[in-house]
Amino acid sequence: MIGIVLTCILIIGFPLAVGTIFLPLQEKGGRLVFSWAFGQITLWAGFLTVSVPMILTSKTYSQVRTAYFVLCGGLLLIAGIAALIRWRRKETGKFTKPDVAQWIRQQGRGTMLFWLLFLALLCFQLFCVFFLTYEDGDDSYYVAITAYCKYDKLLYQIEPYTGYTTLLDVRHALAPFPVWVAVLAELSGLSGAAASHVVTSAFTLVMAYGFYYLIGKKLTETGEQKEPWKLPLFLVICALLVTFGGYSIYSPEKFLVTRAAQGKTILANLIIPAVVYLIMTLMERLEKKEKISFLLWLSMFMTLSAGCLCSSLGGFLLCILAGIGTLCGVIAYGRWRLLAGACFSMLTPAVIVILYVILPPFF
Amino acid sequence: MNAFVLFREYMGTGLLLLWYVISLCYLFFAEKRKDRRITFLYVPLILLLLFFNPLFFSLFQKVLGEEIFYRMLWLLPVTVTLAYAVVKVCSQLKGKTRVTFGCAAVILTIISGSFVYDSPYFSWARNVDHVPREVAEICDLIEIPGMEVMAVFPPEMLHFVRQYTARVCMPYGREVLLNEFNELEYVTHYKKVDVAKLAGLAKKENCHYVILSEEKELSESMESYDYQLIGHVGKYLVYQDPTRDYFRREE
Repeated sequence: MIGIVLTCILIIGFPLAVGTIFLPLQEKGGRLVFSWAFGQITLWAGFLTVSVPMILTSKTYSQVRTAYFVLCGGLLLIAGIAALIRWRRKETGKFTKPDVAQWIRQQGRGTMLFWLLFLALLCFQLFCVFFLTYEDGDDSYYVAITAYCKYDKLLYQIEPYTGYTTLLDVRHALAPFPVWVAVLAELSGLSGAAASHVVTSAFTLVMAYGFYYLIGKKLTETGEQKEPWKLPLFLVICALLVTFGGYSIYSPEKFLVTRAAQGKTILANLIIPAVVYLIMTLMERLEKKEKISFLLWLSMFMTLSAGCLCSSLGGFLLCILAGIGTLCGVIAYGRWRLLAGACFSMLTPAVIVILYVILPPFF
Repeated sequence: MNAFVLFREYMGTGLLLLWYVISLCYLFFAEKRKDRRITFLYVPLILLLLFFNPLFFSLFQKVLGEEIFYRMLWLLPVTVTLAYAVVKVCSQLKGKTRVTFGCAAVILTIISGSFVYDSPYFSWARNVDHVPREVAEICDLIEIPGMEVMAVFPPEMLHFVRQYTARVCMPYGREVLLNEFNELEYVTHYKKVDVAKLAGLAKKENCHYVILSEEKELSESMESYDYQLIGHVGKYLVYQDPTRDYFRREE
């Protein structure tokens, strides 16, 4: 029971609280999902910044975990101070209490049918996460890393396939997502395998739909007249594309269903959609000739850093996407100062790339 | 391999690619908002140009290797674009035409893709750890609290052992399934097992346990090399070598 409570605090409570830092970016509905998603991304970015230097200097798992909890405390404090400042300035957005009965009345029969269909597809996918298992070879690497954290080993200095001690594996040490899963496993009281295959997979799946919801909400509810059936139809199509995403072994949808606990899946299904969402927000503000706030670039910085935690290729791919998106904004709207923001957001991937190049000869 | 081959493999059956291209064409004409045109048309177009650029491909290949080049295509918002195009078309239709188009889009999505759970690699989970029951039972049998043990496992179990417990080490792991040669694995690979060779190599690697399928034909008994049969899990026989020292004490 305590494990369940602690897990909920780590993957729901902390992200929700930390994500309030970025709430001014989200003007209309979906603030809860936005706060949760970008809060988690910030926590992952934070985990990268504390874990990588510690792993490179041969610290053990328990030291990394303690540092992460200190960082979580710090981020909660910052979120609290930010909320206090906004409250003093009377800038706080309202979390209105949802009136479910009224909401259902507004939807209409057809819209409710779409919502039910979407929920049925989501429940089916969650059922499969809990009760089906997929044999993926890469799990024997990543889940084994999560599993050995339990015994407080030196991180990335053990060959995951066999258990032999080895030199520091720099490439994987710079993207230590399995170590974050180990923190989750420890708090939940589950084994590394259960925390990966069940908790992280379910969490990834739900958050992926959180991003589809945010993107869908932006696309279907801004500007034009509101038509409530659009968003659930959008989500139904997304859920169907995931359910029938077995057309290729490389598609992000296939990864989401078959290897949801691996960093590369988080990159493809959470982090890349988060960057797309931020690019949409950036373009929307440029279109409205609004000022681009520092918070937007800060959230981009956090998202790109979180991408580095997930995969060794993450920073590189995200820099390409964010770079092209920003350049298009610069050319289309003639706002050259955007380049400075984009450069700031790419700082972490740049540092990681430098480490990839300079570190291997030392290990 | 080149970018075109990777693109073809990535798009699988190709039908969803077709719908994606049609969606892009539709949005090119129907989407009037500049901000959305940039996000869903121009950025993907530039990404595709970059993907098919031979110079970029060869650079990527040299630095990171070609086998992960397909991940560049993850940057295309295919799912979101398809869903948005369907919603946008629906919003421009009315009455029965809208319902018919909506239903057709759902059906086309289903038949264009492939049911992701229809894969031989999916099976019912036997425990909360999602590892095969035999692996869990064997590991529970051979684990010693506070110690690490070394065990030779059959190839079909290699993926799962160290996911289940880090206390069980192995002289070879998944790398042998990726065509890396290991003499010990080679000895146990075929139906007929040369026990003298197996015992010699296992003792050299300081293995405390050897797990063999009962379907294997042994050249002589394992007991003649100091092994003791300590368990029978499913179709697997678990032999212990009591003469070995413990591999490593937990730190």
